[in-house]
Amino acid sequence: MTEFNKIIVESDLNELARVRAFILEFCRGIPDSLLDYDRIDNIVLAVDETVANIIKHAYQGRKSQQIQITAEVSAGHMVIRLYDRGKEFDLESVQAPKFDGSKDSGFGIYIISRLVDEVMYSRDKNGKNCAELIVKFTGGD
Amino acid sequence: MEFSTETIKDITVVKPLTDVLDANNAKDFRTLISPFLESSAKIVFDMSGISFLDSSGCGTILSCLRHLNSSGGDLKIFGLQKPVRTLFELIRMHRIIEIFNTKEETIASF
Repeated sequence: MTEFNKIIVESDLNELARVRAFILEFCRGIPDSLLDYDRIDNIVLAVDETVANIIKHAYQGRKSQQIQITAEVSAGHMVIRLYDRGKEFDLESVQAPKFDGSKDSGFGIYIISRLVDEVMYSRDKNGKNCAELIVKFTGGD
Repeated sequence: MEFSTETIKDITVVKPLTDVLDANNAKDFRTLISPFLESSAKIVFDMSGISFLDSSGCGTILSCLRHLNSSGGDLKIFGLQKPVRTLFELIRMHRIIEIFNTKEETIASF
């Protein structure tokens, strides 16, 4: 089992396929007893949504900016961290999604929060943002 | 992005020839699907080839549904793979768009 890996991608929606492949490969290295296929699908989607949000909102569509993604397995859980240097994310400004079909967007943050066990957003003093997605393993020893 | 189409009575069945509908290609999808929405009021999306969908893809489908509903038409879909169905249920799209297992069931529902 690979315990740590990272990838750096550009702030281009074309990169989403490469991001998904990276997370999928990392997750497939974790025993099924800890992380089954359904949860892997959820994690891949959560990371896809997070990267799309960084590109659209943090970098506001600007290309050629960097997003670093790390995936790490620790005792009982995995952590995926996504770093960018775009606009600070303000969770308080996010409106609740509308489920009545009247809106085409606004689901991303909700989806991410429902697909992983914990989500944390932070920004350091140098302007580096970090979205941290935590997935707790089930079963196993 | 390309589509295969089939006309059954006054219903147009559209199958996107892609396995991914995400933030990267959702705008292309919406642009390229527009002629079908203009030419038929009853549209069916065959989603059986799509193994990955994200919120942008969902938004595009909702946009198509609203467009058709606004002119008295309807959009129905079938063939959702498991991860796609999971996302539909998560954001409750299954409550606002009719979903079927097969093309035959979908056609019969109009």
